[in-house]
Amino acid sequence: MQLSVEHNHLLFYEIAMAIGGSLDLRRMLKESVSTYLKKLNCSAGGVFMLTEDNGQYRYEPVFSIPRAFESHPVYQSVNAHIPDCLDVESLADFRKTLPLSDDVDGTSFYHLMELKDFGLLYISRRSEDLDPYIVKSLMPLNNKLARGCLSCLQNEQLSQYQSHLEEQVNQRTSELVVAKEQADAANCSKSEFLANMSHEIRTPLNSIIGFGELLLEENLTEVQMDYVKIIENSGIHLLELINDILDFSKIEANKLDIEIIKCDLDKLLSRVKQISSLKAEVKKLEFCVNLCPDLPTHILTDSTRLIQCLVNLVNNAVKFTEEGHVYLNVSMEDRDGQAYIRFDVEDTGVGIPADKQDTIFDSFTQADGSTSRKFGGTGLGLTITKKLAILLGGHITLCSDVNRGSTFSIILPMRTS
Amino acid sequence: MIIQAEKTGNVAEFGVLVDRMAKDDRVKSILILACTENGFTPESVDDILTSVEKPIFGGIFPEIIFGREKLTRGCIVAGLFYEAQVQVVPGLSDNKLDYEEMIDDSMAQCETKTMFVLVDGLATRITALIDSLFTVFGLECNYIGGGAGSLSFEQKPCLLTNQGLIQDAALLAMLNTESGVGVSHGWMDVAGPFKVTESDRNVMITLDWKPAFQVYREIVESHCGRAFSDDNFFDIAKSYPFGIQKLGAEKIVRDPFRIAADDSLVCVGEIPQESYVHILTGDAASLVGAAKTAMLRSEHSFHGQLEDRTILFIDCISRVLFLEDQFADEIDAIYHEGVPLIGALTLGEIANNGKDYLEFYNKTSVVGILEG
Repeated sequence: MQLSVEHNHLLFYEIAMAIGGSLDLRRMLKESVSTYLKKLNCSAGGVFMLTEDNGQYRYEPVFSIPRAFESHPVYQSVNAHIPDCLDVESLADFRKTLPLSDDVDGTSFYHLMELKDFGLLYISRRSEDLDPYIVKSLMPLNNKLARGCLSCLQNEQLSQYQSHLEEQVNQRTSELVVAKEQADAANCSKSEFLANMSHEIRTPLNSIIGFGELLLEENLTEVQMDYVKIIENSGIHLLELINDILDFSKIEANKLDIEIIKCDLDKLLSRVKQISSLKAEVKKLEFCVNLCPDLPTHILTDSTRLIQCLVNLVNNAVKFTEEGHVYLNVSMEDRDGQAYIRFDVEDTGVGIPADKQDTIFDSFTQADGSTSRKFGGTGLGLTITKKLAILLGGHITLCSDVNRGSTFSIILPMRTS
Repeated sequence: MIIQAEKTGNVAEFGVLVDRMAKDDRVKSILILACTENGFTPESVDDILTSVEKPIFGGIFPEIIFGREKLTRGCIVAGLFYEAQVQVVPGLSDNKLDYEEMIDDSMAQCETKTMFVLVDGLATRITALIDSLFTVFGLECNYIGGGAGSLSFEQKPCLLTNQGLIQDAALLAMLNTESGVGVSHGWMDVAGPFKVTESDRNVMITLDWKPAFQVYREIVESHCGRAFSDDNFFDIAKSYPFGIQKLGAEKIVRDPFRIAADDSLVCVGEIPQESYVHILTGDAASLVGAAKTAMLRSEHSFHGQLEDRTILFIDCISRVLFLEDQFADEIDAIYHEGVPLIGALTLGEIANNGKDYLEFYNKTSVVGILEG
């Protein structure tokens, strides 16, 4: 049955559209070769791939329809045309013989065609042989199929490369996890050591401060009094530093226990005021605690740790404010149906530059190197406050403008039980 | 081959025939062709089927052929003197299944000269199964078979197996017996080619980037002088199938049987996207002539014992709807005095004569000559 040239072109178009639909070589060959066979009404077909080893080339069978075709006379006849092992020159000579056509017993016709830079394609027909014009017309389709096959191979190489990279990343990640665990363990040991050492240091230090206080009650000369005061003040300062280190170490070593109990909010804030107001007075700063009217009388929290946080923030505010005020504003807020209590410590101090605000809560960090020289401190106060706020179930935020002041806020969810 | 038929469609009568074949020592396997109108259900026939130890393969079709008679009720039970190896391939509409993997490799090794392929004709991946059969078995055996199911186009259990009455599956029965197979349809081009710009398995969504029904309607209405209405689609469409072209062979016919909501056309059998189709039509002479051609082709390819042969006629039910009373001429074209003739009027036909690529056809006559 002869078809018009136009109809043949439509068949070629259908074959062309079936090529390259997948980057998996087997799937792509299955779709492409089966469309060749369907559209050209062929009874068998397959693909050989050219491989190279030490300058020797071979055509290896990679796909056939039907799949168990090796014992078939057509396959054997096709295979007989393909040299077993070729060098560059004989490969070039063999390529010149393509496409080649032959038959088995005059009943099964086949065509062996080149898939450029990839290998060979054969198709076999039983009813009658293909028109030579059809075979020639298949050349651009075969080129497309060859490019499709090469793309599949490249994709396979890329996949292997990607898989190798993923393997390496996984291995490196595992190593890093182990290293991090080791570092964490070392850090934990260090913190435990510091916690123990701080405790050991506090005992003699308390003696120094205590006996210093007793000594001040004795009849001392003015000069002696000044010396003893220096000893006492240095001892108190040293004790504050050690307390900070002790708290920080406990938190780092996961040894800080939080005890959530029902606390009287008024009493808690009075305690903060009591501790911090003297320092504000000394610097002639206005310090007051402002309460919103809707505050509860009691909250569930660890009062000791919350007081510690608030005192830290207020003392910090006082420390970095030369004139103006320090306010502790307490209010309620509601977010997504959850009630929160917020403590805003607002000052009119030096403020913190925007580029330092991200690191201000990191351990041993102050806004700049001169701060510790000018104002003292370990650089642990805000770190401890942040960690305590988290341990209390909340978080801390900062809003600050240089030379206008800062507001540090501790926001805690209202616990019901 | 022992052939027995009953025309009542009664389950008890069916049971008697099956039991008789099961007990006959000469019979090694059983082929059953039954009519939809019998109303067989798994509940009514599963006990009969599962009690038989010999391999059973069969289907329920809109109508069946027994000699020169076309039966709308009843069944034919054929006892074959050779053993069939039967495999059930389930999930014939399941997009995820790879039938090539599911088809038992060991069956490809056995001496199969003829393979019966019966499928649920309303399954949506019949062509995928056929392609897989070709990949596994190639053209070293003759294939013959078709689609079972009902003209209501509602998918129901329609395949008869030793496991009972099942649906959405395929039955592969391999026989080591000589056969000859001929295929022809007689449909001719009216218009085309049209590019199938979008399709999903057996649903033709767009032709030349327009909704498929719009293109189809324009051509068919102007050709036949009738207009499509809400209830006459298949009445007109049965005379205007689609044809998919291939080189050096008759077009593969696809039968549209329903319009979907988006003006897509639902066909029996898959229509590949990016393929080109023609709209076809035929007349009684061309169709009956094609049946004769199929008969001649099957005789030509048959190399078995002529005196001991049975004709198996697998013909599309839509040819009956198209030819109406003249369908008797189609049977006459196949019938040979003294040669047993059995057959089924199917939803799609499967055939191969060992030369052409294996295909799932619609609206086509397939004649098989079986030895024994």
